[in-house]
Amino acid sequence: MERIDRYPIKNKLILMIMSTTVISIFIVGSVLVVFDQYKTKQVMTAHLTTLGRIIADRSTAALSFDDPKAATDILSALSKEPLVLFACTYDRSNGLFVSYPSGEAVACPTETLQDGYQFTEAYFQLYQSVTLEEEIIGTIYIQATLGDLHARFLSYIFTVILIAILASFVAYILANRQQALISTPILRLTDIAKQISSGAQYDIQVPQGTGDEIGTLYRAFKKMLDQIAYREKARDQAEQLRRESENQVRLLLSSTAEAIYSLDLEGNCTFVNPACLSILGYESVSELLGKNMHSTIHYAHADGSPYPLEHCSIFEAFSTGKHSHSDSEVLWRSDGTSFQAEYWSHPIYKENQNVGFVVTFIDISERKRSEAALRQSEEKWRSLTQYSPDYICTLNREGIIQFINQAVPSLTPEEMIGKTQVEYLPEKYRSVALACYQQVLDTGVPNQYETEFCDPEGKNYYFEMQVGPIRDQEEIIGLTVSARDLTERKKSEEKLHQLAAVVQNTAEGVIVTDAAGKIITVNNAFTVITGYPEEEVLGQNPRFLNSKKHDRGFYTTLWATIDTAGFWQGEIWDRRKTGEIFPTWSTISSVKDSDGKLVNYVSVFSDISSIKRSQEKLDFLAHHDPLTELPNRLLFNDRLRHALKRALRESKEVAVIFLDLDRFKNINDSLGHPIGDILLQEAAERIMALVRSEDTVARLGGDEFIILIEEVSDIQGIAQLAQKIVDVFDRPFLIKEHELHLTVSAGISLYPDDGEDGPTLVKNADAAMYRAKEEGRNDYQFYTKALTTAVFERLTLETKLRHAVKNKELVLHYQPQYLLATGEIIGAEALVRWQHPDMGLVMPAKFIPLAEESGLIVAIGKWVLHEACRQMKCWVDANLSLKRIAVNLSGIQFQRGNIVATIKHTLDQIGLSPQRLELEITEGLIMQKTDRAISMLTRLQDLGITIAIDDFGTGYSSLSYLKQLPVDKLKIDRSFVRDITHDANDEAITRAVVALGQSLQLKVIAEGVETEEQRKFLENLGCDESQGNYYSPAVPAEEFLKLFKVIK
Amino acid sequence: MKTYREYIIQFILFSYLFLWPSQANPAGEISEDEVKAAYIYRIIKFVEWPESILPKGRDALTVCLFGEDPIEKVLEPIKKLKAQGHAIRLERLGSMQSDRVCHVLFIGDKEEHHLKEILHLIKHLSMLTVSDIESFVSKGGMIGFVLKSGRVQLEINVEASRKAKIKLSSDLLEVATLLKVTRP
Repeated sequence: MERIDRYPIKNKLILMIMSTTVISIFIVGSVLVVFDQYKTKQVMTAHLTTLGRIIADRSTAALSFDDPKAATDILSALSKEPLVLFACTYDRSNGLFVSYPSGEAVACPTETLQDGYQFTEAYFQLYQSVTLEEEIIGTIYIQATLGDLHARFLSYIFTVILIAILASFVAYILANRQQALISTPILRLTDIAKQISSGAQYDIQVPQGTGDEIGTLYRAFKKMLDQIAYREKARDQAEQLRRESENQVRLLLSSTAEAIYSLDLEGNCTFVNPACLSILGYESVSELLGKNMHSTIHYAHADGSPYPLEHCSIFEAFSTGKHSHSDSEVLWRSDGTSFQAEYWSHPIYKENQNVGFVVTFIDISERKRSEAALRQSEEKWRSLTQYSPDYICTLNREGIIQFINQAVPSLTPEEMIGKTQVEYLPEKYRSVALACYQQVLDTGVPNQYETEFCDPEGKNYYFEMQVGPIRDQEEIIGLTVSARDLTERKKSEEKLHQLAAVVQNTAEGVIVTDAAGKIITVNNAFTVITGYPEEEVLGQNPRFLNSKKHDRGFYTTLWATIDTAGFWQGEIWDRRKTGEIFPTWSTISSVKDSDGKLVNYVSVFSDISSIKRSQEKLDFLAHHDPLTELPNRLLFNDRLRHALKRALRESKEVAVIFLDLDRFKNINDSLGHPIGDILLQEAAERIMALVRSEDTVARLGGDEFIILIEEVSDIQGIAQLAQKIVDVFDRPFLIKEHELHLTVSAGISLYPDDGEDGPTLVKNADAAMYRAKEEGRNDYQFYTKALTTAVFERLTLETKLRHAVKNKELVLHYQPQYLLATGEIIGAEALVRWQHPDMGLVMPAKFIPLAEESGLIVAIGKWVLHEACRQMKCWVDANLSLKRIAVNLSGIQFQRGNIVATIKHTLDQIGLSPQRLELEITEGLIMQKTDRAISMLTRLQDLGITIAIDDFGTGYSSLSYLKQLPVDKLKIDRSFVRDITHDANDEAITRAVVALGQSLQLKVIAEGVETEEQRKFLENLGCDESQGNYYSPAVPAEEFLKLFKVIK
Repeated sequence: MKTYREYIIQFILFSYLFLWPSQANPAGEISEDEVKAAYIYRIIKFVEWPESILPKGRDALTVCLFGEDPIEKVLEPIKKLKAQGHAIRLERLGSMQSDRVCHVLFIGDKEEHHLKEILHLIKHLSMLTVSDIESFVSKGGMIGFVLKSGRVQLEINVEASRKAKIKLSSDLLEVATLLKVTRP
């Protein structure tokens, strides 16, 4: 170390730089190499583990569904990853499932390990299990190369060593050059210091130096030299000044207007100046020098009484050692006259020793006189301002307050004097004030301005400021400002102004009357609303606005309220100038003066007619169906939502009943919309009459109604209501000349059993309603969960029906038809039955609608026709005296296929005469009046086949229309026959049908005859034929034959 | 707790359902229907029903069959299994006593003429429809079985399942040969 200490700085620097460079490079290089290895492995692990998981996750289905193709596809995603050498997928039993790259032999491990990864010498290996529902269903194995990781390590180390050698070489070259930056300036400074010490010369040029520490040393050295040179110069200058000031004092003493003299300790004069001589009336200095001054000029008081030396205040300075002052004494001139003088006496010290004193004095007789005059004038002025109610202040030309007579609220005059006056004004008034002051200062003409002042409590004051000039001779030296408080006046003015603007501009009408009720004023809005201009109504009583809509009592109460409470508010109907009456919202108040005497009435009112009208209309339109005026879907949903909320809170039940008018579309189509609309209105009325006022009946559109029943007490009650609704439609609707029979189907859903929200309840009620329709209409149904499965039931039934046709499970039964007059069998109606092996005998009502919907009716119809004709042919061949066999035809059969050809072909095939066949079609089919159907019927009739209209009376056939149709027979519906003996309506309808038949020369047959009474009745009416259980139910062919024999 | 006996049964069933198809040689020791039956069970594991239809841990997962189909016989063992923590029920539709919600509806290929109606009826019911009716997925079904080069493969209609609020795992889509996807 000692050896290094002796090295020159140059060598030390080179050594330091080189060693630092090499060590740094080694440290940085090593850290980078280790970090690179660690990071590469980490990135690889994270990357491949993620990849493994994704592949495992995506392989679940492939493994589960044993789909090697999909599994291979998933693995082949690894082809994008160059590090991966190969991968394998194993199934649940650790058998190899697929591998990647596909088609190549791959060294998949035979044993799979637990999930995880490991680094071997050259590879990365990863196992990832494939799980489904927490069960391991396979494993993914991925093997990846570590790449050039090891080679990279060696090449990095070699590079670091190479860089270190190169760097140390470069560092030596650079250090060799750079060390001069430090050592050269140090040597130069040493030279300068040597030069100064030899020459004692301070102004040697020191170089500027650099910005570093050596530069700082240079500058400090230079500053030190400057400091020494400056001090030497200052000493020379002080000496020069002292000499000059001595001369000046001498000149001052002799030229000043003040008298100056000095005394020694005995009171003898040692010095007088020329001013002293002239004031005292002496000619030369010698007259006073050496004389006792007190006895020469200060010997008596103003009144002539002697002034002993002991009392002299001038000598106080001598006795106390302090200076003294007086302006109340007189001095005496050489001629024996005296004058008022003000003098100052100062002791003179020399080396802390009192050696005499200096006295200066001036003649102040003139000043004393003017001072007295000023005092008097000021006193007068002060008294004047002190008792003024206004604030008065004076300002100098700069606007500084010189005087203020009384405090502005919350400030004392002492606080304000000396401050700038405008600073007390609010910001926005300052420029006005300053302009005003400037004008007065410039012209001398008094002026004024207005300002606000806000005290610290936030209270506002208004002032009118009068500004006048203060002159000193012709010059304006300041201003007087007097402020008058206008606060109260200003406030009331402003308030009045605002009120007037409000009244004039408000949209509400205003009437002001005097105590007698005569109009004093009205505003613009009054004229706009009522149509009366102000000049027409002034002086009148507002009674001319009376609409006569309110009785006397209304006004009596109104005025009584105003008298007692001071005001009245409410709705009044008034009359405009045009005579139209309108509602207003009015406030009438009485106004009293400060003594409580009534002075005015004020009425403020607004026209609320348009608001009222549009509100009511809008609200109604938005929530009601325009036709029936029932709530619409929107309002219904809203009420349902509220009802459900309430029901949830109170654990109550809610019912929704969905109603659909059966076959309403037929009425609309055949009789037109106007009739349909009236029908809907009447239906709505009937439904409304049945429900409680708190329940909601809404029309959802078309022929759909919906009822919301809140607070359901028991399901029985709901069922009863539904039954009542169904029953109320039994009564026919009489609209214009039509008597319309309508039935309704209802579906009921209940909260919370059938749904917990509105849409579900409505949907389910709708579904239940559909089931009611399927079950034969004119009834109600509750929604049950079985509904969903019921649709599958129907589908199954359809499949079975299809089989039934194939398997010959259908059979025909025959019901005899009798001639009423003779009681002999003249015909038979063929009726289809389904003899199912499990379900037993199924009636047509249950399966015919299904057959119609599915189209199976065509096949069934064909079979029925063939079978009936075949049977008839047998009977004819057996010589049975049966005239006709009646077969029902469905509308679908008319729509599809060529019915005429089929019938003709069947008859020909069997060899049955067309006269033996009767076809029954429904009234509905006729009403559809398609030209095609009619032409077909005509052709059938032409063949000799009898055409009968089934269920007659339930449709709306008109007489004139019926006349044009190819019809031979009318069949009165069983529903009329049932109550024919005790229901006048049914009797009337039956009577009308019989009469119609007779007038159109059509045969009339009644079905559903059950009693002798009914039979007799029909016979008496003149009905031709009849059938029914009274005679015989529909029976199989063999039994039918027996029946025949019995009758025979 | 399951008894020892039940574990044995379950093990045997698992082997039957999982191992058999993968061990089968192409000559076909097991029938196509058995593969389909096993597939129905596996599909269930990749399907998620709305919570309201299949509450977690409660209710059985019901597989319904519509129409006569030989699969009914080989599907029988599925009743003993569990999936997603639910017991599996097998329901034959068309018998009056069934009033349960179906989660999976297998439609036999003889019922093709009803397909449109069935799909319309259950439109809102979140039922996974599975069938081997030809072109089932293009007719609106969700999962169809097709036979391609001797293997039973899946066709999936993602759009139909989404409309019914049924979620199919993307893994399941991976093994499907045909996907019907229409973005909304």
